[in-house]
Order: sequence, then structure tokens, then C-alpha cells
Amino acid sequence: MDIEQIKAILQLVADSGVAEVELEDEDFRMVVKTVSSQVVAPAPQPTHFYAQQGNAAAPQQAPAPQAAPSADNAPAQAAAAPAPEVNGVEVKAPIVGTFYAASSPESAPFVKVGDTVQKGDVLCIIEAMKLMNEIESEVSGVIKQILVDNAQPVQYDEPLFLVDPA
Amino acid sequence: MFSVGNFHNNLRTRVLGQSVRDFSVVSSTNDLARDWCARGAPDGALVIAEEQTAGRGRLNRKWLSEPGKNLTFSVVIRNRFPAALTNLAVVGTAVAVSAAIAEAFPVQTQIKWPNDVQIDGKKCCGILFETESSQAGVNNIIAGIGINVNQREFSGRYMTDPTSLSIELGYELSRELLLADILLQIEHELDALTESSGGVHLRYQQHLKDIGQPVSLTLHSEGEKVKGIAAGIDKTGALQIMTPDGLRRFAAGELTSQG
Repeated sequence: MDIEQIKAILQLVADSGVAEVELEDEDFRMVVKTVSSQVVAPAPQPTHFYAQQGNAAAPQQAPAPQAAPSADNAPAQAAAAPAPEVNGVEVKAPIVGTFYAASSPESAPFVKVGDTVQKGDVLCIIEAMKLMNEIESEVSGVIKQILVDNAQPVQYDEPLFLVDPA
Repeated sequence: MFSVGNFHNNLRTRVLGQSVRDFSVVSSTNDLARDWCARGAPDGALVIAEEQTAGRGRLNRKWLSEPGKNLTFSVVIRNRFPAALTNLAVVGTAVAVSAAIAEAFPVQTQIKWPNDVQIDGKKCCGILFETESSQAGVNNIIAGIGINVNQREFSGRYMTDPTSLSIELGYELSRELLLADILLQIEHELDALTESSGGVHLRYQQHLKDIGQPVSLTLHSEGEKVKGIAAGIDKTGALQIMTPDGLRRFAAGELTSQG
């Protein structure tokens, strides 16, 4: 193992955001631990819904749904740091559920980046419990960004779209 | 033909089904209910059809039903709930349908999470709610419900084996009486929810199939599967599964019984 390889491994670990990595070869063992303040508690996986470790007896003591999106998933990142040059109004999820960009797997998405929408136009569907919830645009304008991938779970109040108001 | 007169003579609801539009053929009762809603349909307005040419379930899966034999209808639920309670309206509707059937007939109904009603593991009822909402809160809900009543044969491919009440009971039923019963139960559940959300999840759990049984839940994202023991639902209607990583809660997914 040479210094370049070690550097590469360190970079990989830093980029991945994992807290600890252990590597073992025949004559070599390496443990990398990150001490970043980012790495607290086991972050909920982005693919799960709701707060993850709810206690049946006291669900209200589970982390609030708003707190559930982990700091390291893509939509949350986009939400936390909207690209500074893009001004716009965020359309947020009014409920927890699964985000669908189209009405069915075969259909075209309701909107694409660059589309002009009117207030009240349907932007997407969020499904929870077979409740298909059509989410309407709060404003008229142009879709600047779509912040969530199709069929991904979204949390309450999670930003879904960035709309540049007309 | 479905007799609206006979149905109304037996209807004991306050609002549900009091206004009715009945059709022989429609695209989907949900579509017509939605249009009517946009033009001012009252709370509880009912659209019923003998045949749907584009009846649908979630993800635009087809809802197949032999014309003139079953119940395919949609109810407009207007401005009743804040967004947080709409999940429970779905839960309450499933409980109402399951209970209405089980109380009126000698069959055991069960709910497959979130809202299929089954008899012996075969599906006799599907429910699809559609709503439009903005951050201001939920506006109106269109509750689409399909119940297999008098259909005796099912051909074609189904996600879940189908059955009908008539197959299970061995005789034909009055669709008018059944619908009047079901709407009354749904109204009770929705009223209970408007007053207080307490209790509906407990009633739901009494009907829930798979409770305490091994299940597998397919999440939509990348087909990830979660395996564990179905533990029940929480106060929001979310399914709780005891997994090797602890108790987890889910608002959506495709549930399969294991074992």
C-alpha cells in the first residue's frame, strides 16, 4: 500500500460521509474514523419513510418527521443549499409519502425543468396509503429545479420543486 | 340496473349518497366525481356506474369489473380534514367497508394494508383516494371504491386473486342495500374522524390481515424490500414492521404475506 493509495482511500471515505472504515490486506490493516460533526447518530437511510426507530408505545417521541431526512441525502442537500444563483419559490411536500413525477409509470412527467406552470397546475403526485395526492403549484412561473427523484420517499415539508415566479 | 330509488329508500346517511349521479358507462367514476366536485358537488356526492371503461387503481393499474354486477362508485368528501388526517380517512373507509360486509353477511373480511378488503386472502374490494392539495391544506377528496358483489367468474390476470361476495355466499345480493349499508358505515367513520382521530387505527387493527405474521414490504425506490413481522399501524395509519433493525414505519409500499 503506497501513500497515493492511502490518500485515495482517505478521500473516498471523506466523500462517502461514512463514519468509519476498516480495510485489511494480508500484511496491512487500516482503520479510518471521521470526526466530522456531521456524523452523529446513525443517520436515517434516505429510502425509509417517517421517523425510523419509532417506539410503538410512544410514537410521538420518535424523531419528528421533519427531522428525518438525513443530512447526507441528495434532496435534503439540495434543499439545504439551493444553488445561490437560482431564485425561486419552493413547492414543499404537504404530506409524507412517495413522490411520483407522472400519473403512471408509462406517462410523461407532469412537468420538466423549464416548463411554464400556472398556479394550481399539478406538479406531481405524492402517494401515501393509496391516497394519490396531486400537488399543485403555489405560484405561476417556470420550473427551475426538480429536487426529488421519481418514486423516492419524501418527508413532510421537504422541498420538491423550485419555481421562478413569473 | 342499479335502482337509485331502491337505494335511496334504504339510505340512512346524513350526507353521503344523498346527491347521486348514476351512469351506465363512464370512463372512471373518480373522473366524473372530480369534474362534479369542480362544479360544486355537495359533500357526500355519489357517482355510480354500471361500467367503467377506464377504472383504475394506483399507478393506473386497471380495475376490472363485469358491467352491471358490482359496485363501482366514487364519493366526494369536501373540506373535512386537514392534510394530516387524510391518511386516516383512507384507513376509516377500509374499516367501514370491511365492517359493513362482515356485519351484514356470514363472511370474515380482512384488510390488507393499506386498504384492500379481502375474504380468505382474495380481494373483493379496492379503494383509491385521489385528492388535490397545496400547502394551504387538503381541499377535497375523491374516494373511489370498487366492490365485487355479484360477479361469478373472473378471467384475466389480477395482482391479487379476486373473489366476490356472491361467490363467497352462494347467492345474489342487493347492490342497493349493500351500498346504503357501506355508505352509512363510511359516514360514521368520517364523522368520528372529524370529531377526533382517536380510535380508528385500533378498529383498523382488528381487521388487519398479517398482524403478527411475517411480511415483506417492497418500497418503490429501487425495489428495496423490508422483511419482518407486521406489528400494526400507528396513529397516522403508517404500517409498523418489526425488523432486525427495530420497529420501522412505512406510509407506502407493496405488502406481501410471507409464510
